[in-house]
Amino acid sequence: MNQIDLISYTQSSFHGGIHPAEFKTISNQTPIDCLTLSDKLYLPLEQHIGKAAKLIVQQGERIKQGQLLAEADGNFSANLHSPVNGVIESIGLINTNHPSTMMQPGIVIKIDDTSQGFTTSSSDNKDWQSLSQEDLLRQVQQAGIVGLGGATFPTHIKLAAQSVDTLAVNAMECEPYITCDDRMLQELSDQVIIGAQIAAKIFSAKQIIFAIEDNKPEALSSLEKAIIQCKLAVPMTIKVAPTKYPSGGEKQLIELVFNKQLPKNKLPVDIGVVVQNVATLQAIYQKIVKQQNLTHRLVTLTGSQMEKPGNYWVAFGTPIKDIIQKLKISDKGTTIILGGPLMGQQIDNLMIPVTKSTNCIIFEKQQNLSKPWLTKSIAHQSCIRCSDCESVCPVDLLPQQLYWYSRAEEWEKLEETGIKDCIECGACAYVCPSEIPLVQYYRFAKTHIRQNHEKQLKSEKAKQRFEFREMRLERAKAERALKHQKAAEARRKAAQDNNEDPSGKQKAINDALERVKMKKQQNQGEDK
Amino acid sequence: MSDLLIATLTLVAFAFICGALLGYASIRFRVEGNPLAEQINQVLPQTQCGQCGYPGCKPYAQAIAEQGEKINRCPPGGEAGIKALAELLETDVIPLDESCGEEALPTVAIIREDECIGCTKCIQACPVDAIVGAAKLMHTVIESECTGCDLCVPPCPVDCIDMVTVQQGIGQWVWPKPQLIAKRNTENNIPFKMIDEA
Repeated sequence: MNQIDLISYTQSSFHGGIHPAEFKTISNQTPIDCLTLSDKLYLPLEQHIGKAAKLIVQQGERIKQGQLLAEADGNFSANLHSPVNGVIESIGLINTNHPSTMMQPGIVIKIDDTSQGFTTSSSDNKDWQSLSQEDLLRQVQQAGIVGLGGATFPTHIKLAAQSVDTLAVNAMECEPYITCDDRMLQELSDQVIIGAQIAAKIFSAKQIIFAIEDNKPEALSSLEKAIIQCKLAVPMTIKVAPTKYPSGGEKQLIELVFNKQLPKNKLPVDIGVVVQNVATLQAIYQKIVKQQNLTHRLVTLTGSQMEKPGNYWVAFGTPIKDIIQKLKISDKGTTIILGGPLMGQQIDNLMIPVTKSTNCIIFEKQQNLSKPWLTKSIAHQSCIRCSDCESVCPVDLLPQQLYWYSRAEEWEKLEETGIKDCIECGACAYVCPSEIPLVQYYRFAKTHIRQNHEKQLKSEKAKQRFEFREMRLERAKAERALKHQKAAEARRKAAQDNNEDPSGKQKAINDALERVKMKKQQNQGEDK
Repeated sequence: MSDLLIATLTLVAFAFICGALLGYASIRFRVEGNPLAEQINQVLPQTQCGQCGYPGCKPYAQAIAEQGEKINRCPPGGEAGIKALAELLETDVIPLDESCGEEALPTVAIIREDECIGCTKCIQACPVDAIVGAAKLMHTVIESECTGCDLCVPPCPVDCIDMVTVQQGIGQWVWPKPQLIAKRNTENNIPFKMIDEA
């Protein structure tokens, strides 16, 4: 395969987008490391989109690394495994990264031995190619793998899609600061490729396309080398896109790679494409080849407050307090952002654990954050209708209009303006001269609209039940009336009979005559 | 004269044809029920609580549509409900009628099951069939179906039904609304920000 075929540059672009300062060199210069454990892990049961997993262990139980702790509740859910050997210390409400700061159900594990490591380099090359598609899919489902790009959509549902011919691998990583996919491709691109081949085999894809931004030359060359060396079946190519935020959004990526827009309310599957993140594919590799369930993930720990910024394998459930302690991060004037600087959220609670969705934690000096309203809801100036937001919106919405409707709480107008299509990328808020936390407004509106829909459903159900009850009472009344009518008729008939033969004498005589007649007949028969 | 007559007759004939068409259409395309009442009913919260003085949401909707009943008699719908009704009927928003009750958080009925004597009175009172049980057997409320209308409470002879406010779980949480910086009345209210030269 020659190089020209392998790598191509995108010919298309999507509407809008921004070019924020990248800050990627803070964390992508050092090799991947493993964060040592401290004494406890805090594992929420809901680390994915869908229903929370169902607990299957008990307090005080001794557990092993990789053991199933909570199993998926139905298909639209994901398993949860233990990252360590230890003991279940307690089960109850724990702090999570939920924006409400409400506690959620979870498990606290006391770790046996803090030197338990996590390795990605063991060479247990299992012959996965002999396994059937169903077996592979079942194993992915069993490992509790979800989309590790941040959306945490259960991977087995995506992989079970029918009539898909292309696997697009999302290696764009367009948000500033985050470098975990970059670093993973630099060091583990062979594993990512095998993961992609496994995924492609599961839904019989005919090609695999890696989509990557041009600001990651090392990752690109490492990926290229690995593809050339790889002898596996499904053909692989690389599509390089110019660096622009948010090219890593699913719909934006499809527009860049396939030069066509995904229609509103359509999923990539509808045009025969499944998009998977680099880290998700590595997790598939980890499961199928190494027989390891998803218990750790690569997290970018970065920011100017860190002594050793870089990418670390972190066990799920590790609280941020432990990361601060282990990596000697100064907590004076430090702002902590969970996620990237555009889509993440500022947090104060250090007991929040790393979960399947945590791809990046930023420890930054407060004064270095030039746009704090992106990650925190703060009081803002008035909108001056400059329409800068409109020119950067990657989904071609009218952010300014959405803002005004959100302020006025005009839910119907918001739905008409297409708030459902907003991907909350924050590009509009990034360029807003009035520093309006626009995404917060959209989230406020979106959650309210969802609430209203739920209320509507509930009242619709109540209405149906009320109407059914009315109908039932009506029917019972009619039945009762019919019964009464019948009874009255029967009574009337009896009374009529009574009138003709008041004491029943005539009937008795008739009956007696009948009996005599019968006897006579019998006697005659005997005489003969 | 005959011109005038022809014109008049033509118009009269035309009017008759139109009238006949309209008359036919009104029979042929007759709409069952009152569409306005149906629309109003859609807006009402369907708790069927009767706080408005009518035996359910539908009768109240009919009363609004046909008898010109006021739109402010529904406490569970609250301010938002009155606003929606006013928009639908193109009338002014009026404050909630206090005599009907106050807008409160959503509730559900809970039966203290060990105290229940199984009299079935609450079952008969429930407008949405959300209570299950049989004579002389314990009753219980299907929480997901309960509208929190209070109607089961008065008939209970042993007072074993509590109305409990629905716990707002994490699924019901909504993002808070960001705040606008309050306008200051000082002269120097132009916002500014120091930007480092370095």
